[in-house]
Amino acid sequence: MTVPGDGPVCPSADARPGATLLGILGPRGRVVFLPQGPRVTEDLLAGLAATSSPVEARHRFAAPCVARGCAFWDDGRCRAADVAAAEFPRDNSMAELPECGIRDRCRWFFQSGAEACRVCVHVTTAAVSESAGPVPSV
Amino acid sequence: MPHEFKFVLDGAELDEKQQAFIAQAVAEAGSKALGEVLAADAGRDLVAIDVSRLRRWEWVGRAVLLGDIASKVAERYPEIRR
Repeated sequence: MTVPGDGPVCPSADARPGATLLGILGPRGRVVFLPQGPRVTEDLLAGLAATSSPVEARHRFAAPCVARGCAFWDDGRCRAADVAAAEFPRDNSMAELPECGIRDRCRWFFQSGAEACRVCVHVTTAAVSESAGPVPSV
Repeated sequence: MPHEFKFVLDGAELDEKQQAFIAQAVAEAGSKALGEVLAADAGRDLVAIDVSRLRRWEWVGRAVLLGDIASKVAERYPEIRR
């Protein structure tokens, strides 16, 4: 996957140009990963919006982790990963970790190892509407 | 098990920029098609998670980062600190 830069990558980024499409929610709420997902463009966003609104409700995006530039960064940790681990079910049936394409740079994997992957497959990014405030899509 | 879909061409010399352009287009088209296929199952058996336990500052901070108000807050930041 071609996420810009060579630093840690956020597996639950917002849908915006420059991010990379990480996966699409499939049956039973499990993410279908795209290890060679396309870079997000305005055209792609328009196409994805045809099947979900907000786009994040059914799609996952990856982008460089901005660490202290993110509201979820606290005390040297990604709290979004912590919240996901605490709130989301683990898929312990996975014989192998999914081929997501970002594991070697994933912030959540760095922080929690394979345990993060077992939760990640069920995570939906909480979309934020700029006009209406937070949308509880997860 | 991963599924791989190939788009093959022969008979044209393409530079790296052109190859990247086509690869992006193929990936976009595949993603849109996959989205449509999976949309048939949308909303079925989805795992609903209550996020109300997220701390308020997490939501507020998220909104501030994404909204137009971000630049206004940034301008006022020295004032807020006082």
